[in-house]
Amino acid sequence: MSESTDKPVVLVIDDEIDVVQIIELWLTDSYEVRTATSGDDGLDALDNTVDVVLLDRRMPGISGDDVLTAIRDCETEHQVGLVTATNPDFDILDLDFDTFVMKPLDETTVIATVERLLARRAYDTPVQDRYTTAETLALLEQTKTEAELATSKAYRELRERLETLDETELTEADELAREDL
Amino acid sequence: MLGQVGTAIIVASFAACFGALYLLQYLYQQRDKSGADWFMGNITSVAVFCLAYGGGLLVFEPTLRVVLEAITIICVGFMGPFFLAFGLDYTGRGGLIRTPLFGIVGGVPLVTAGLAATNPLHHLVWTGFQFEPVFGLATVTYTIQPWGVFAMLFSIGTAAVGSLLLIGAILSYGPLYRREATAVILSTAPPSVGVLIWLFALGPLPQLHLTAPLMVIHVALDAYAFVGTHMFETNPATQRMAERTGLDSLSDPVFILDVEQQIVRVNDRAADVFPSTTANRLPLALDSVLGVGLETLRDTGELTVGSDQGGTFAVSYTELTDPSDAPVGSMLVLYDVTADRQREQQLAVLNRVMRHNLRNETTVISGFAEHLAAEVDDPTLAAYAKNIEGASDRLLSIGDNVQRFESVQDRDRQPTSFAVAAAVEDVTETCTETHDNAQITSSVTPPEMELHTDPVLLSVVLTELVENAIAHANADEPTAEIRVSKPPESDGDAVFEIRDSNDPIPEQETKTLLAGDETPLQHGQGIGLWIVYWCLQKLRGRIEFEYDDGNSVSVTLPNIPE
Repeated sequence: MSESTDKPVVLVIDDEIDVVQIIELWLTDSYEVRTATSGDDGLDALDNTVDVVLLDRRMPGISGDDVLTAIRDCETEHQVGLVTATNPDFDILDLDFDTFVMKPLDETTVIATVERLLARRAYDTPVQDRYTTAETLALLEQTKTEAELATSKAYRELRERLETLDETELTEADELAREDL
Repeated sequence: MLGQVGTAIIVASFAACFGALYLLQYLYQQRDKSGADWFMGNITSVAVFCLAYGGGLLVFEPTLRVVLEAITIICVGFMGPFFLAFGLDYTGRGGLIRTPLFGIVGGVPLVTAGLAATNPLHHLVWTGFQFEPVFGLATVTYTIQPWGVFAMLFSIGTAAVGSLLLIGAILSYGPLYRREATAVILSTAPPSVGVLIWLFALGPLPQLHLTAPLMVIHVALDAYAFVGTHMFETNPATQRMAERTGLDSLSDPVFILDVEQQIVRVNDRAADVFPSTTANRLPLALDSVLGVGLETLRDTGELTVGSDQGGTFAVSYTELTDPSDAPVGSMLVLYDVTADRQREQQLAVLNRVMRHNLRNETTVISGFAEHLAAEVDDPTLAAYAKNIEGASDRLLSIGDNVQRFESVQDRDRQPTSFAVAAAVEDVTETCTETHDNAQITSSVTPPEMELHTDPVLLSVVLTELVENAIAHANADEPTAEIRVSKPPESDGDAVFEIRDSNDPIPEQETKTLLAGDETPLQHGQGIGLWIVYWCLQKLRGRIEFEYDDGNSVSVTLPNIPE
């Protein structure tokens, strides 16, 4: 949480300046919004006061994937929503994001995403992990064909991981995650 | 005085002669066909032999009898080499006839003819010619000299080789010509046996030469094999040349493999792409040339070759079997799909970039338009902002449609049996979730109806048509109805009727779709109906448009096999 204001701080990183502006417009009433139009600028703008990062995946220069890796290397507890305008492939399973949002964006989706990420900060790591795993599975099931899913080893492993998490008395968190999905 | 046996021998000899003449007149009509002229030579030899021998049995005048007997020896000498030449030419090996080796083959009967004509001077062909009548016939005996024996055996040998060539060719025609092949095999046996019995005096009456009457069987079997079945029309020489030329003229590499998976033959294109396969280096192991084995090739179905002549190839495998269906090898055809793969890649990149940019730009357009609509006081300006928002949404739907098009294009048809009512219900629910203001109903008659088709493609078709009906509705609460039936006249096909209460679908749209093509001046508004059209092509279905207080789009789908 930011120390300068009571509002949570959201950092928006997207190379499309118009997209950055409209997200800022949607969030500015409820959050302190910082913006950056490149990966480098985004990392410069990142500090401990940032609560949520909305990170565009495809950017020239440092890509969203690399920025995400750099954020995780900082070992700070930012919630990161990876934003993309292209359909995700199975390679997203290698990325350590907290949620994944598909463009086109609208005000409701963006605010709901930020609120969801802020709410999750209160949960323990295993619960957060449960959320992310369930969301990633749902995303893949939405964007991939049955045949693609059936032949993906990574997808199968993710399903098994979710089942393992389900077995660890996370009933309450599970319910919350399903509501969010 | 001729006895019954003598008469029968003479009649049979003349019958063989007439049979040979009949065959000759057929062959004359076929004289432009490969091998026909050589076969005419053989049959002429047979005809003359039978005439000379049958006639000779009636001649007791010594000089004329010697002449007629010499003619029979000369004819037997020519029969074999003529038959071999026929076999070579007919089976596409005519080039061998013009080689020095075949000159020797042809030289033997010519030398025999010369020696037989001058035999009284040197006695190199026979000696001790004398009459030894039997059955009232002017039969003779004499001692065949070494050259005569050699000439007769040489003729039998060359006839046997010719027969083997023909048998191989006829067998390659497949089971259809098995009886004819048998006839050809059997046809050479009677005269060969007749000559051998006479030559080595194996019979009880050595003076009786039964080859002539046995020629009846030979001629009858040849007539059956070649005339009755029109085998000159299915000429193997043409086939052999066509196979060679056809194979070499193919623009795709072709490999013929033996059962050990060794390359034993390639066409010109394969030799271009894989220079190591030049003919003098074959056979070569397949994996040493292509870098992968047959099993891997069959599994992956594709091969990428990095050389200048290379590219991406789709692999087609065909097992080769002999007429008894035993495997004898295989054929690999590598279809060059480099251009297709490049186009697919370009299209995929274009689609991805277009969707990416559309999603970014529509986020901006819709977002700012919505903001404007909320902020401006002027209702007209607010309406304009709403219009911008609507246009942005429609623009976005193009991207979604392109994605749907891509998934339809990439999908191989996967037919399965399923309950139609459940499938239709799924579509109704999905569309209702997306368009909560729309009233979407469905009915399936009979309710338990099943269909064997691809349910995913069917779902795309129905969803697209229902969404099309809702998108073009004038009412605030659009309606769409899916009726499914199996009319008695539909021959088991299911008819899906999607009804709305909209204005007619523009004729331009339906005309373009039914024509199956677009031109710059005649084109539809979007790709939704095209997606329907392409799905129906995969489902072997058809679409019809009618208007009766609303649009009625009828999609007829058959049960399709696996």
